Amino acid sequence: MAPGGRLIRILGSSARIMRRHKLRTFFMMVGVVVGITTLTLVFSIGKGTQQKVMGAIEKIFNARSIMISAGGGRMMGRPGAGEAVTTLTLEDLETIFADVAGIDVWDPMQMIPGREVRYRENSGSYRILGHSPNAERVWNRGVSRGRFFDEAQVETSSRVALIGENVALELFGDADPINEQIRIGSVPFRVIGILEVVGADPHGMNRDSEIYIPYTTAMRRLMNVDYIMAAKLLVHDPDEMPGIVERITEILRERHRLAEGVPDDFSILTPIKVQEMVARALRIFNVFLPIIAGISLLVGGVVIANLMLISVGERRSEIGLRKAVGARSRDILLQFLMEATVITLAGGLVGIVIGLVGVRAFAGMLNIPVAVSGKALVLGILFSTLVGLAAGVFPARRAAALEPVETLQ
Amino acid sequence: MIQLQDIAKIYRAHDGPEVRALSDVSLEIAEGEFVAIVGVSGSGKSTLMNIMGMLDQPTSGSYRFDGEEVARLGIDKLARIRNGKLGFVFQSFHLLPRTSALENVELPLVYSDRSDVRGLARRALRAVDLEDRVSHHPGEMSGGQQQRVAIARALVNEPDVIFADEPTGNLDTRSGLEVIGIFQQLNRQGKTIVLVTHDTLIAGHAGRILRIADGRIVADEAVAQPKSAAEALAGMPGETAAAP
Repeated sequence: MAPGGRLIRILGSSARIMRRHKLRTFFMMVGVVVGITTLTLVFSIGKGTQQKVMGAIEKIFNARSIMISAGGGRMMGRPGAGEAVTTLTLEDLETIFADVAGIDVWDPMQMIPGREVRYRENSGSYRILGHSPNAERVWNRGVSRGRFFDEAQVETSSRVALIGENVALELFGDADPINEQIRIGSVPFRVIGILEVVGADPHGMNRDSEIYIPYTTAMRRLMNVDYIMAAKLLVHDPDEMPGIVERITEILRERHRLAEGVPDDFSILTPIKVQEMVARALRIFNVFLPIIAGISLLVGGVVIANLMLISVGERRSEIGLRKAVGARSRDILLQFLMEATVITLAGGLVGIVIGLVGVRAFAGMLNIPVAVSGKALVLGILFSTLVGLAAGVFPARRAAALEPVETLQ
Repeated sequence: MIQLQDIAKIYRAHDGPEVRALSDVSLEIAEGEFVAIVGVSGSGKSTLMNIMGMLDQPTSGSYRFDGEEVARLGIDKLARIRNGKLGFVFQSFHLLPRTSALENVELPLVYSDRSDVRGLARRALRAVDLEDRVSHHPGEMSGGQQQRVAIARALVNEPDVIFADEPTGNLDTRSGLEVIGIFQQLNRQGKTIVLVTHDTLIAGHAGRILRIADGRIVADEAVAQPKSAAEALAGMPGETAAAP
């Protein structure tokens, strides 16, 4: 008979004992169930949230995107206070486009955070963004009506504007804005298109309350500057990203005459950095809450160790009897280790099931996709087993050391 | 079957004097004998049974079991021999609580290499006439029935020798006689029985009596006419278990 046979019999024996003492088994399982449920929930909600956030970001910042911003540490043209950094220029970007291989297309950007815009007797304050025609492709946003501005209009700093749905609604109501004249500040513009609806961006800013104009028009006619705020590039092959970023950094540092040790006066944002930022923000799901779940498992393990120790004390004569009829010390050790581990493993599986049910409920509530974290399942089973073994080993050794002579007469 | 030569067992407390539980014990038990070991509390009878039952090892001396010297074997090897060749019945039954009679009887088989665990267990229960109680728990059985389950457990591995330590100590007269009757029946079928007791009346059912006092064998006599438990039961008023 295979040596595994004895193992299976002892396993079966342990499982039956578990069923026999239902109340004790319940108390032993509670800690593990709570811990594993939490682990499953937390990792899965974290994964779902990450998926949702990354999905939203993907639309405007996909895997091939690079964003170069003037000044250190700004993300995606967030309107910040102060610091008009004036060192990033169109010539910088033209040089980059010419010298660095693997860049498909680029779009420069300038911004006025809020300017009064008037149409007849209606007015409102809106964000004005200067872009090139490439913006349609680079930012994955076109027009729902009318047409985007073209190279010719950029060249002539033409006073044409694309307005967001919200702007159209607030300034024009039901009327058709196309070909109508609006005033941005004191400068007249002709509306030639309505921007596609986007909704709120990851910062929470309403992208439908924006107005796009040619960047040349923004720089010369509205702002009177010769520098740009940022530029977004699309690379051809995402795998080449690190090399491209390096080259861009080199070129900009050289052109801006930055000596060694002087920090960059620009910042480059890549998809990896974005993922890191998101992960950092979601750290509570990926680090802190799992630690709490771990504490629950630890406490559960201590409870199990205690209950098993008591059990060993109560079952002294049973252990002596088993040895009298032929159990060796290692059989007893195995039996008690298995009793603990079978319980924790069962608790882990229960925890996973409850966790998965919870994920569905929470996903609906939080409006995130239902994501099952494979990591949670594997860790769940692994830790349940480890807790069982760790908690069971001391009581099991105590049990295995008992001799029939001590306990039977 | 069992050959003890100059067996001694000495206990030494950490700080105290030696306690000689057994001294100069030599005896032989042949296959098929029914031997009773009689002594008062503290006489060493339990120590002697532990050594014969390989639950404990002598401090000195030789113990040949079925031709093999076992006095100094490793504990794992002893466990293996106990599992295959010895059966035990204790005063306190020592059944697993909240476990069926069948599972209780199967226990020694868990640690053996045999298959057909269920079949062997049922057969053992049949031998002690408890077929109708296979799924009952100890809590649902009388003392006598529990002890019979223990005997079935001792039989399940088809041992060479059965050791019984005060098997009737926790039983009333009738149940006690039933249990002794079963031992007599098993002995008639060829099993070697070694029974330890302080009760000379019980001992009178065996074929040979060894008296022990102060750790030494002081008498070793055959019993001319062993009492019959079956007859004693028949003579008692009330129900009996099926005649052995």
